[in-house]
Amino acid sequence: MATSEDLLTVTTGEDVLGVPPEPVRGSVALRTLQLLLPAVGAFGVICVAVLVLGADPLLVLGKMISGSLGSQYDVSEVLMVMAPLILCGLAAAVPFSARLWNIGGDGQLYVGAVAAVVVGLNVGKDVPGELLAALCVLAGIAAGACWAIVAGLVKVLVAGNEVIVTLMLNLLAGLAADYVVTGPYAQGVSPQTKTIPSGATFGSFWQTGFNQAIFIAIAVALAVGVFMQRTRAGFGIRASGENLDASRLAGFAVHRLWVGAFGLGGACAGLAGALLVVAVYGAVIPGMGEQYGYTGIAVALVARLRPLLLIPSAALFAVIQVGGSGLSANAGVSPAITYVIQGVIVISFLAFRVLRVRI
Amino acid sequence: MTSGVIQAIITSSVMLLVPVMWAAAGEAVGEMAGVLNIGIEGVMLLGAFIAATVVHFGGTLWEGWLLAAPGGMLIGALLWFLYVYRQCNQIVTGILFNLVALGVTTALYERYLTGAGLVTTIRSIRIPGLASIPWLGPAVFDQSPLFYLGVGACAVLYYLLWHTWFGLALRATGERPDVATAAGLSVFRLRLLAVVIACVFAALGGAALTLISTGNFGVDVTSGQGFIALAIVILGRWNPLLIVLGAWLFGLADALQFQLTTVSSLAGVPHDAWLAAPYVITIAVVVWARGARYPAATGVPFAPPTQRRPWAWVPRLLS
Repeated sequence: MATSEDLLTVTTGEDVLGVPPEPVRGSVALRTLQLLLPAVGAFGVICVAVLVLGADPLLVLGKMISGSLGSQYDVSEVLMVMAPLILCGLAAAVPFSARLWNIGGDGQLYVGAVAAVVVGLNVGKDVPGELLAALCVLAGIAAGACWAIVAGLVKVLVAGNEVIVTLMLNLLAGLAADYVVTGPYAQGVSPQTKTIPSGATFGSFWQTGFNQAIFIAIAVALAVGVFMQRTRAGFGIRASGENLDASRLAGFAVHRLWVGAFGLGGACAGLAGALLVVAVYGAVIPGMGEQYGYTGIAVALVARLRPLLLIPSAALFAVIQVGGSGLSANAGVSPAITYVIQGVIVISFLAFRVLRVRI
Repeated sequence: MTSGVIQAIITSSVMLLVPVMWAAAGEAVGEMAGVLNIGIEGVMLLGAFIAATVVHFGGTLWEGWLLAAPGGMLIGALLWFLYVYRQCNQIVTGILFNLVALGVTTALYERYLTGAGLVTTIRSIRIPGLASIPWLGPAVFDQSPLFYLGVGACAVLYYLLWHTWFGLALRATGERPDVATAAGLSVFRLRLLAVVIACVFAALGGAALTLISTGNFGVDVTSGQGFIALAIVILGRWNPLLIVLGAWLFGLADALQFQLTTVSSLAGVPHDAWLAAPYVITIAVVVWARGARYPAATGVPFAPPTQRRPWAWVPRLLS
């Protein structure tokens, strides 16, 4: 039971990630060793995986770096991938701060993309392009938020397991995307929907995928960062993750905050899906978001759930992703190896307790 | 709808429940001991991949299925190290493990197994006499041996959990690990056994998926079956015998999806709507089971009060 002391210090002995905090002791050398060990361990595991796949790890590493940072085109690809990664990172980071495990970034992204395409194709051609783009984005945000709020309501009203619900909503959203791709909006030639009017899509700088989307994502990350750190509701969300009893006693309407946290997270992921439509593809394409939803969780963990740190974290993961996507042509390794690289790095940093969440 | 279609639905529903039944029964043991293995999807995927690999490189179907068990043991030891020994957050670690498993199986499949196809699946065994019962007989008593073995394993797990000293210790670990420690039990060791059992069962279930239902391995062949198993555990209230029935509900949803698409009067319904049925049912189960309570310590990492281990300096260096 919470005492009055808990009200003064809204902290418990345990981090949001469940790792008991251990004070960092010892010399600088020991601390550096602690940081290096998981990095070396992860590198070793990844090298073994690459060797099993019959490739040279150093060659793969070189190709990944040259394939993601080697040219202006590659860098712009990284910037393009960063935008949905930041937003999907927010979709995980905001609910995770309240110990709500929103695994649904993937599904929220897909419903956002589907909503954007449906609006873009139905609103009509007399609407000016900028307005149509704004409508698409708003539809995506609303759809993503609603999709996440379903999980939030299940959590709040019946205390259901939000992990299972968000995972199922991911699968359902995947089916919804599959339906619009094959059903009424099918383009007919290639497996995708019809493209939305070209006036509604963003242009691009440098003739590449790089455009305004990344600036929107960074602006949203800044805004959410201010919200989480500087507003009452944001503090309430973080406090309910740190100490539920204390935040209840302090007068926070915890259930409302939880639904709101899910809604905000879902809105970010829905925005990611809508931006993929208006800024990148112009349509729903099967598998368009498969590398973003779950990777967003890893991005958020590496950023320690801090919205501003999501930007460098997303940059790191975008480099891995863009570098990995060209590997099948350059080094004969399946791009699926990027999942292994990202997962092994984050797991080893979790296991060696380098990653801790302090709020 | 003809009686032939209904019979086909019932029969295939029993066939399709086998993978999730194995996975859910094992998961129940893990959750009873306080470990929520979200990584079950990845374990199933790896089990399915092991079976497909063994068969591809000349093993028999039975060898493929049985070799998934040692694979599951190794995975279980790894997950125990992360979940229990290093006390990582079980949900995010499990999700990341799924990501790694998807990456590993996809990359290895594309490198070594593409184009490979198992053409045969494990043949079903007809139990004479019982199999001629109308409706039920062909469905339950003319099934793959993996179904009979799975029901038997569920019965064994039920006995183990509720009628042995070991089961009592395991359940104590999942409810109050501090009390279990005070009673002299080793929470780490009991959870090691539980996670290994959970992962072996999940891997065998994944292997069963390759060897009964699909007859092949593909990228992300499990498609959420592991997560469905998590809901079946809730539906069966952590009781392995009820889990058989819970799994049957999902087998039925799957079977309806396969069979009803062939019924002409339902042709207007999009195929994706049928595919959605098991997932909608899963959400309904989570909502409906509002009275269900996870064992108190499920998903909560436990730090033993004193760790007297000869190698205690190793974690001190690492952490």
